Amino acid sequence: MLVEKKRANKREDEMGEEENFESKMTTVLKPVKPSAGYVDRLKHSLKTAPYAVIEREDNTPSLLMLLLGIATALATFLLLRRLRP
Amino acid sequence: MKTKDQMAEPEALTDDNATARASQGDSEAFSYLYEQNVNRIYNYVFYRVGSEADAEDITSRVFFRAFGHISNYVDKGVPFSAWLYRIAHNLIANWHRDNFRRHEVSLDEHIDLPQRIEQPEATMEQTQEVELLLRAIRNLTEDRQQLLVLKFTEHLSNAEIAVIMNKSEGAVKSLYHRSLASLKVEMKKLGFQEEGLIVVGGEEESE
Repeated sequence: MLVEKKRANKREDEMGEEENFESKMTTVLKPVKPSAGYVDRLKHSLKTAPYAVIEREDNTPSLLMLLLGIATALATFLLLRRLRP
Repeated sequence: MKTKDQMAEPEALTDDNATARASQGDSEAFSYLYEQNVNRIYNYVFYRVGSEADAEDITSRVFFRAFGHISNYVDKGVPFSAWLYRIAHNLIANWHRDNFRRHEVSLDEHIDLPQRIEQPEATMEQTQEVELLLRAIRNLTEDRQQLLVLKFTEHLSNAEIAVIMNKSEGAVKSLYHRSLASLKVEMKKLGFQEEGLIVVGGEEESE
């Protein structure tokens, strides 16, 4: 019983300590705002920016062509090897 | 009863319809989303990188990237801000990686606390303590930093953080407790004392 009570007290202490720590963190870490000038400049840049989406080049067709070329070369080589007397 | 002219007017922008309209190319809707989110994204970025110049640069890139990909945005019922936070998180990760390549970050690196932090009563001592606290946060792993910043500067709930971090609420809760424990360890390493950890408005001194 005594051990359980001690454990419960310890848990309560830990929770209280954590809550205390959390409230201190909340008090210290105040929200930071950007300057009004920066906000306006960025808004203007976004409005005047040309709409462009940068996409990665899709290499799949090139790779398929390459694989097809290798397969054809291999098949031709094997065929010629068989036909050779 | 609405007149014909009133009916022809476009629907007023709200949090609910702005995303859909922006993804269809409505620049006013994107401006609305920008205004709703720029402060919180800047705040998040600032606490992750520690300098005004870098925070401004990364925040700009977040919105330019969002602007460039808004047409591909699919509304899955997740707040638009969550998408922006994810973009910011990825850009910050790249920034840290590039920074690490350029030079190893010194422990004495100065953290540029802007004057706009609303703490008129703040003393020099408190500012130093905040700097040390931020340094301790930045010594944590990326996901722990992200969680603590979202929790303490954005005051988001575990459920909201879970959406941003793409984790379950339970996983966020568990990560949160581990993060706090790690933060305490880091703070001790940097010389904080457990009790008089951070003096705010002289409360600790008067005890």
